[in-house]
Amino acid sequence: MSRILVVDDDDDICALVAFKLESLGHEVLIERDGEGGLAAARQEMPDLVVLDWMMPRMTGLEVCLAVRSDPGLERMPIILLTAKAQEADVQRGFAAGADDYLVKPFSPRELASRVEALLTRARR
Amino acid sequence: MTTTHAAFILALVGCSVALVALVVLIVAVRTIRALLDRRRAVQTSRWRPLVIGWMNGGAEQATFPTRRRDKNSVVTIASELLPKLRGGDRDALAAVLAHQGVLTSAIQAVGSRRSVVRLRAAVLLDVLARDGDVDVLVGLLGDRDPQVRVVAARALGRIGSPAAIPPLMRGLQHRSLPSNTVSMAIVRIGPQAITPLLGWLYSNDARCRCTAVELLGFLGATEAAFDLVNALDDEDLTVATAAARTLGRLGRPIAVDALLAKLEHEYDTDELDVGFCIACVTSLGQIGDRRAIPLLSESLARSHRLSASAATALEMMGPRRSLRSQQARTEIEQHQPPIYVSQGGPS
Repeated sequence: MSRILVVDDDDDICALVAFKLESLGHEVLIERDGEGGLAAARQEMPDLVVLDWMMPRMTGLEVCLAVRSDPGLERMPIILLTAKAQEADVQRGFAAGADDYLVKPFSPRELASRVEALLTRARR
Repeated sequence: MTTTHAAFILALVGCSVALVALVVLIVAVRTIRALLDRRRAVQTSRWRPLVIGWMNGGAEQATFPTRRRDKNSVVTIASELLPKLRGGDRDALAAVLAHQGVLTSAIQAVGSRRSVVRLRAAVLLDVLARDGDVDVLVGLLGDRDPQVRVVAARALGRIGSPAAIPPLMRGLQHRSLPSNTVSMAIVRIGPQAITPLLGWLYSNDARCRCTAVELLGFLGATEAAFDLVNALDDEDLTVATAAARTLGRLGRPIAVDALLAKLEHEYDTDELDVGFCIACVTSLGQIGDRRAIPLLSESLARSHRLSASAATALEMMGPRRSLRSQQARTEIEQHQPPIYVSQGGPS
């Protein structure tokens, strides 16, 4: 069982992701904005973060950059789950330090597979 | 007390009563709205786990509330979740709705007298986007509620059936649908829309012709070049300008002669249309045919906007022309008279 932090301001998305990941046996923590997400990442030290891009107070990209510049968190796997689907956005996401990128509307099954793959790789 | 005094006091009392009534009304509306929002939030948090749970089970095993109010909440939650999902989980949710007869009810509800019921049905058909619902949605394009018509148009675009193009364009023609709604829907249909759109280039309605021209450009319809060249002669200048712009976007050299002829004709007239000329000049730059260089160079001496477009067009045509156009651009930006350069250097 792993601890996964989901940071998204959309209640539906949080509920969908939490349901899918909990049904796989993971513990899911939810935060509704970027600032809260970064604080939770520092406090709770989750095994993986599922991060939205466009959020109040702090964007997902800023959170991603902050996590990567924090020596204690720099290896934490991050999946960006966002509606921003342009090629340039994907490039920016990866450049900010995301390990994976998924575009909304999304398939929870696909997200679950990507989460499992990243967790397996992180455990090695 | 005089009559004037009495009238004044009466008016004052009337105004005060009206003001108090207005404040009471605003407070009441806000309270009711807050109560409804709270009730909706309670219903959502109560039923959302059930709806999300459908993703993991078969449609036959899914539990469904029996009370009408709860049923409506569940359908609303599902309608909000479906556009956020794709893949197997989305299909699982849709299968439960179909199994519970929600879709059949929605199709029946499009004939309801209450517009809110028809709108809810249209939203559901939109998020599900099933091929089989095209006829029902086409019927909704004629709904008396504009919101229902817009949702139906959006759904037809999402389904992507070219059969939806004639009714969508007719909606535009009869002013029952906004132009951007029709355009968005047809762009979503994609390249399949090109053939049906070609016929609309010859519609009696200028709005339809103009939309068809612009959509053919967005869809990259290079096969429409001949028809678009004909559209340069359209009696409506908006259509002709759109055709000029679209020919540039498509980049077909076949349009060069026609664009040059139209531009020359405009320059020969006393009242040239700057917008149309700019569209021609820009398109010639985008197509990049060298035959356009003399006329584009001549355009540098025209009005400020036209010469700026000509300079950009020449820049787009390659480095050999860029020196000339950059000089022209500097002149335009500085609003200074041209500096002529002789072979021996600056004069």
